[in-house]
Amino acid sequence: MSILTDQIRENLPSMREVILDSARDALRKSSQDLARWNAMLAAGTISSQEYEWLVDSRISVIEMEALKAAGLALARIDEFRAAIVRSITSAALRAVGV
Amino acid sequence: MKVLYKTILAILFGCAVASCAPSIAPFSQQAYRYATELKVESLSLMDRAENPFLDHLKHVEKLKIDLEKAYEFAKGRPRNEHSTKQWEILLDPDRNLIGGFLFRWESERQLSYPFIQQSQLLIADAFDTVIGLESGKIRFSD
Repeated sequence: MSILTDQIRENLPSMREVILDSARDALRKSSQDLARWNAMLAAGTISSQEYEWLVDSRISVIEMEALKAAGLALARIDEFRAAIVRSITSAALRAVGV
Repeated sequence: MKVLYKTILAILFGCAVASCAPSIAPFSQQAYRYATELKVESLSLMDRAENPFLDHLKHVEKLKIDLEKAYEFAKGRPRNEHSTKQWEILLDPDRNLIGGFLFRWESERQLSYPFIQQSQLLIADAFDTVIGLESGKIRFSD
């Protein structure tokens, strides 16, 4: 049981960080982009159609970021599971004296 | 007693192997190369979108084929749904990333420089998500 507790304590923060970092990064970039496009629209550097297109494009990137975060969390879970299997197997081998 | 130990070991080994089947495809050097090279090629071709689309038709067609190859490669790998979905969004002419950009260029014949520049930033970010996911996958040597 302590093996499991150790593995969870060690691995859960990194899974949480992957998801939180991705969300923070997406928010930061989106607000910077919107501020820049608002200024460009006001100055007539881009048209309203181009502005709309760019906003839709940013939404697609956010969706791709979410897929990345979900995929990376799965990869971390795989690492976590492999670490547990290794720990349990070596503990069992020690218990049977091999 | 030795037979019992061996049986226990065999069961443990079987369980370990079964539970180690990954839930996401491992890292692929080929997939990583496709994403990094196509990012460079796409951004480079976008630079030319101030010019008439028809002047660059050959380059556009070649890029589209290369993007399709990368998508098919991702789609063909087992447990690779996240990367495949990313390529789908990136390539979709009805979405506003590289597929949509090329479609818009074709429809409007030429695009404005500020719009191209802003689109390049977004499309670079989009490719980075594909690259980031691939490089974060487990490597066999890990």
